[in-house]
Amino acid sequence: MLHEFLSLYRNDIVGRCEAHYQLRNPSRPRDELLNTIPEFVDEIIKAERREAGIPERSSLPGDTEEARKLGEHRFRRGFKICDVVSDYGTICQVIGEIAIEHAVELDGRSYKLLNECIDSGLSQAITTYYELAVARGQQEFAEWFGFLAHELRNSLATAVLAYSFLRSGEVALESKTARILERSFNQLEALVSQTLATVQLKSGVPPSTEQIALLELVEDIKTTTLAERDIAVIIKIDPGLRVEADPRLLGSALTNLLQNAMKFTRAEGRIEVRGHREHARVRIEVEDECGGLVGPPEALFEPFVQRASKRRGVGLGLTITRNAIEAHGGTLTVRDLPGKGCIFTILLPLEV
Amino acid sequence: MVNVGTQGSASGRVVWKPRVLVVDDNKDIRITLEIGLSMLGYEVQTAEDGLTGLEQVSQFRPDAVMIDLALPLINGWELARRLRRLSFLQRQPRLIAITGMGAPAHRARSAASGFDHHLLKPFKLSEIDRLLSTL
Repeated sequence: MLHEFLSLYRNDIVGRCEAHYQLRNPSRPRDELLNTIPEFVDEIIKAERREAGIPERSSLPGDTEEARKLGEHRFRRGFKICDVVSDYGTICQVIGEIAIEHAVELDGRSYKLLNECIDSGLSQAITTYYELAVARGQQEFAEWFGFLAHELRNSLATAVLAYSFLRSGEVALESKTARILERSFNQLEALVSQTLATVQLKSGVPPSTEQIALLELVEDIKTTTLAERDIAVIIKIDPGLRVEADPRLLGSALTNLLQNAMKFTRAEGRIEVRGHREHARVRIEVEDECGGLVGPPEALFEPFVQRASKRRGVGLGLTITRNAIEAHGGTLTVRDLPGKGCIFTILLPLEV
Repeated sequence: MVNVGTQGSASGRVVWKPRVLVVDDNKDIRITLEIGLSMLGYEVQTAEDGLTGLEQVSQFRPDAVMIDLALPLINGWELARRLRRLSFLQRQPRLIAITGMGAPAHRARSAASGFDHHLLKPFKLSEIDRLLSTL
């Protein structure tokens, strides 16, 4: 009988499942294993006993709170959905191994029950995982949309006011107001581009690449990203350097990096944008004088992490920027220059 | 006895210039509101965060405070609550929320925090003037 076999080798099954877990997840601490295996094995044992004694089972043992807990735990700790599948596959595999080692022959009915339990537990765990993932996606979208609306309203508010002053004739076309109006339009344009780039990346539309002259692209971005403050932007890009990229995605990524640099660089500081060919890649660097990073550099690329308390921009900026570069087979990293600033580095393959 | 602004004189006529404090972390919003409200004849000061705004109220004694809700340090609702608790003010300023957040819950929170008005961005200068004209 299956329950006798499982009861006898219970500790061995649990121990081997744990060993498999650690083999699959060498970097994860042991305490991250929410060990629902003993409960699961016990459930199977109980089910089989019930089946042996009572003809009608009220519910499948896999359909338990334990499976829900496992799905939730795996989601919250950042496991992939395939890890959840492996968790259950491992139990099945280990039971099979032990049965062979001890020359225990499990009959067809036992295997059928075992499979039912695994299927039921697995589907419950995956359903929980999936529901949580959908909920998080909706929450992230709502937050992102909120930030976006906030930024659009701010730029629009400024533009509406600045335009009304210009129309009143009380301020000149070559005035601070006119520059503010121009800046508002640029911000609106950048927000729209970034939104389109975000939608393109999220919906999995592949980059539509063409040869782009990098120097011209960066110079265009520099003129449209007018500094609110007195900051020098120095461009050192090899003339004639071309990259194969999606103009909208690369433009949005570089605009984002430059806007970020402008936002955080100290007053009267300088920003340097460099670009050159490096073997079969193109290296683009944006160095700012933000005074050095606070916290771990990688955290910057998490959604809604902002570089300082002065929260502006849509927050998803650096996350999307990295996604845009990765969509071209490239990388985006940041290096801290403590007390001085930081360097964002894009490495793009010459051919996508 | 009650501070209602600066008494000035233009072409021999005595004019009152009500004081407006603008608290917004967006520099362009601060500049445009300062230009616009000055054109309308108000005396304007600006602050870029809630705590600076709070300090400026005690010195500037504005007749109205326009407050962005998503402010650094303390948000606009908290600033409004603190302003409403200030005991040294002989007359409470009119509080106007200027924001991109227009959901009923946001408006209710503004009212509960002591705001008199909840103005959604983008707004026209004439709307602000209408709100301030009864000062």
